[in-house]
Amino acid sequence: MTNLNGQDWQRLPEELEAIEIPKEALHQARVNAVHQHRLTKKRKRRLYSVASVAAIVLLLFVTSIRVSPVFAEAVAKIPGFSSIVNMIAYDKGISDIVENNYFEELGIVVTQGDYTLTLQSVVADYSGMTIFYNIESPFENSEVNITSLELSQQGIPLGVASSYISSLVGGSSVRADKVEIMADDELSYDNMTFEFNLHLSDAAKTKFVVPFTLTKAIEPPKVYKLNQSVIVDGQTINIKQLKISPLRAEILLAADEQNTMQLLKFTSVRLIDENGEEWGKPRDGGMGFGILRDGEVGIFIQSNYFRQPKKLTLVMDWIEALPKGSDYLEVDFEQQKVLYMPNELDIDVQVPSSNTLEVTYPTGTGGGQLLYGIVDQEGNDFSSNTISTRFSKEEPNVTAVYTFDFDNAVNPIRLNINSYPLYLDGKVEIDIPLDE
Amino acid sequence: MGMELEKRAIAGDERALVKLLERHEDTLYRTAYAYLKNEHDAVEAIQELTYRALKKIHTVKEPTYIATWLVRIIINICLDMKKKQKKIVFNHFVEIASTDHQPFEMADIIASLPIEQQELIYLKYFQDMKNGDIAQLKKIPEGTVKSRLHTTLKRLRVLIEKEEL
Repeated sequence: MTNLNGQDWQRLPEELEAIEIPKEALHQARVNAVHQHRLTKKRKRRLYSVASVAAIVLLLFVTSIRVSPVFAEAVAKIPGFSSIVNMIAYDKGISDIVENNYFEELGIVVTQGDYTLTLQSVVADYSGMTIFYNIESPFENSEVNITSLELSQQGIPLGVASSYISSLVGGSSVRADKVEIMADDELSYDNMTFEFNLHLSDAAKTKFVVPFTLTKAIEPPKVYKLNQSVIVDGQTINIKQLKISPLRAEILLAADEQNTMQLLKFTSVRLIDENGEEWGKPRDGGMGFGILRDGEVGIFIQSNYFRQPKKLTLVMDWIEALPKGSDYLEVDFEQQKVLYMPNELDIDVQVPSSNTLEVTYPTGTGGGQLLYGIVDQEGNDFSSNTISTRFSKEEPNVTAVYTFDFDNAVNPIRLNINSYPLYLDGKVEIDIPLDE
Repeated sequence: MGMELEKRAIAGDERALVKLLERHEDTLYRTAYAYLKNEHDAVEAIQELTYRALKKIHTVKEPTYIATWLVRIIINICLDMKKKQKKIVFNHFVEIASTDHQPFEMADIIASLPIEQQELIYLKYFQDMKNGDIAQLKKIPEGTVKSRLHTTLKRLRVLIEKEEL
């Protein structure tokens, strides 16, 4: 019945012609795809900024953590939390979450080869998710690393960054971990089913894909539009909004382009209620999104979501800043030479090899990393080409040794200063309009 | 009509690429429909095509290649989706066409050809491209296009005869 020379050959084009084009649906499909593509792009770009901050936090953390017994007892209610409580600093937001039962128990157990993964519980809101899980094996697994950890929905990774900490409990064959998934925009809960993806570095390259579905209602964030410009020490800071979610609060701000100083880290950011009770920066995990030099930043604060304060004041002081033009290093790695460094700073810079840099600098109140942001002579961004960073601390200084992958970079290379303990004289203090 | 939009798309202009996809949406959607036979999956294929195109557009070397490149991706996506689709059969179209003829029978047979040959058929017979244009596009001599078409049609004939047994 079908033959190539006959009319059947004609039939397909005719049939094709007859298909109606669902213009609207196709338009929507393209829009969805663009959105999806942007998210994956964004995720790549931002992950590093959070990761670099997280590294520093851990460094500080090992030396300073003291767990309050009251906190330990309170949070032990969340399945999976008690085993890692020794690694988590006291966070008021987490205490409130436990008190208000705002977490969901999962208890999903999946075995993959030698390893058993248990998803214990999740705290989910629009700002992200904190997931508690553990990995068990019949033998010692402290050498095995997590090579990739991701949250996805229908196979598409969510546009988020994550940081995790892990601790060995029950000998060295069980480890309990906490992962913080932070959305750079907002998570969507139109679909409550997610997949937790985890890859291990063992010989078999064990991969877990664990689907889970949330059933509890997700609390929407409280958003306060501020849009105020505050001048501190002659520098303008535009404070845009405060968003409070159960897991964290986030203050969104940007520095004015006309400023003569380059603002670096906001080392002290806190919310204060009518009784003088304070919520400060998180003590571990993610600290925020973005870099001031590039525009807008989001700074995280511990959450007071479950409280009903009568008055709330945002206070930011100890704002680090350097005069513009004195806020970077310039190094020729090929010749192992430092071409420029601001001489008013108390730092020491060495170039031991063509891809390593050793810097010694004073630790400030913020404990920020001296350098972040690398650009080569052609203006290409090499910020994510840091292979490893090693810190050693000798009060009051820190020495950091960076190893870079500069194979395709054109010297000289500029490294931006991200944090240095010189501060603006003054502070930001604004009242949050609670009743709007 | 220069290749302005194409050039901008390759340079990374998201909007230019979306415009191009819109311009070719009829052919691309109909091709997807021929393979997948229902609107829902064909729309999904277009979404996936858009995503993959945004991700990989920088790998296209010449503006003139974009059209074929898109046809190639949509065919690949459809073949992947067909594998997953196997269990679910959509029959609503059959009710309308009640003769002994199955809709898109030819499309099914074409789908069993190697991807290179599927592409060739879609370019030649459904996009009405001349042998010379295909040769230019694929950077091969016109004679090669002819001989490849010949091989493809021969193969198709064999497949059709097999169908009829």
